[in-house]
Amino acid sequence: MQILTLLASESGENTWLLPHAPAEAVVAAIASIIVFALIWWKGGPPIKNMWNGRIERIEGEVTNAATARADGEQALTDVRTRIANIDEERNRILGEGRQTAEAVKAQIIAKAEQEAADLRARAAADAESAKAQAASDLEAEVGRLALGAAEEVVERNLDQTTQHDLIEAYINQVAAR
Amino acid sequence: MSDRTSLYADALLSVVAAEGNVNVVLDELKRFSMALESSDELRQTLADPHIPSDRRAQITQDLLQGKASDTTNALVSMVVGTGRIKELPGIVDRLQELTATRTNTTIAEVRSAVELSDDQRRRLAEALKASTGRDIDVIVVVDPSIIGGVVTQIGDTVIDGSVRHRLAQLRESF
Repeated sequence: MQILTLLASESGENTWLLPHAPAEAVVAAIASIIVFALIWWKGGPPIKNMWNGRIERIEGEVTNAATARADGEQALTDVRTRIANIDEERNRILGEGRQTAEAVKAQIIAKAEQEAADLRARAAADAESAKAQAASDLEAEVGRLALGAAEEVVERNLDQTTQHDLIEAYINQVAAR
Repeated sequence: MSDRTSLYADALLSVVAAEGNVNVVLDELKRFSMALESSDELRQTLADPHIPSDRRAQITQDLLQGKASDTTNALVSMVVGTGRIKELPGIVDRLQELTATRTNTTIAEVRSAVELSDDQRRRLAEALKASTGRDIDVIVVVDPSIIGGVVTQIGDTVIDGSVRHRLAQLRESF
């Protein structure tokens, strides 16, 4: 207020900025107070809310950053652990590979042995069949030869008497029908 | 069976009936017919139109000389002369049927490896009559291919007592 009065006394021409009278200054002060009170009353809560929201957002971001940092540190720890256990992992993989190879090898050997056994059984069955067939053929051939010989013997020994006997036997056979 | 075959059979039957030796001639004709069927060469020769008919008749006479009656010889020569020798088996079959009808008998075609005596022939006819219940007229044909024994065919019925049949049965059993 003293500054305003001083400014007013120094310039000699008070145009618009300074009050022309002390009462005007009082009124202006009261009006200013009212304006500030209105601003405080209406603008305070939104500003406070905005401020609180920003604080909460920043707090959330800080929390997320902390979580991310913790995850990263955990991952880093895992990587370091894995690096530390790489020899063990390699040995484990090699062990599994050896076990798989042994299992495959055992399967192949078992399959080959089974196929060999089947082949032997089939060959034995074929041999038995061929043997039986050969025996049957031989038997038939012997029978055929014996029959051929018998036919020759029969034809050679069919003299008139035998022919007569055969005819007589036939007549008797027909008569007995 | 053609009309010509029946006409030839009728003509032959008339001749045979006139001569009175039906069964003998039928036997001989049947034998010659079988010989003709079994020999392509004989059939072709006797049916060859390029060979004079008297030459073909001479061939039949040479074949039947002393083995068949004059009636049979003449009938075969006649069929050869007319160029119908290939139809002789059909003519003989028809002649058998006509003879059987005429005498009211059934023809029994008997094949034997050797000739049957008159007594065997009579007894076989009686046995067949007793077996079938019909009057049987036996026609005997000597057929060495049956080896031994007798085969009788009456219509579709065959009574096979041949050695060949028995050997065939033996062969089948192996």
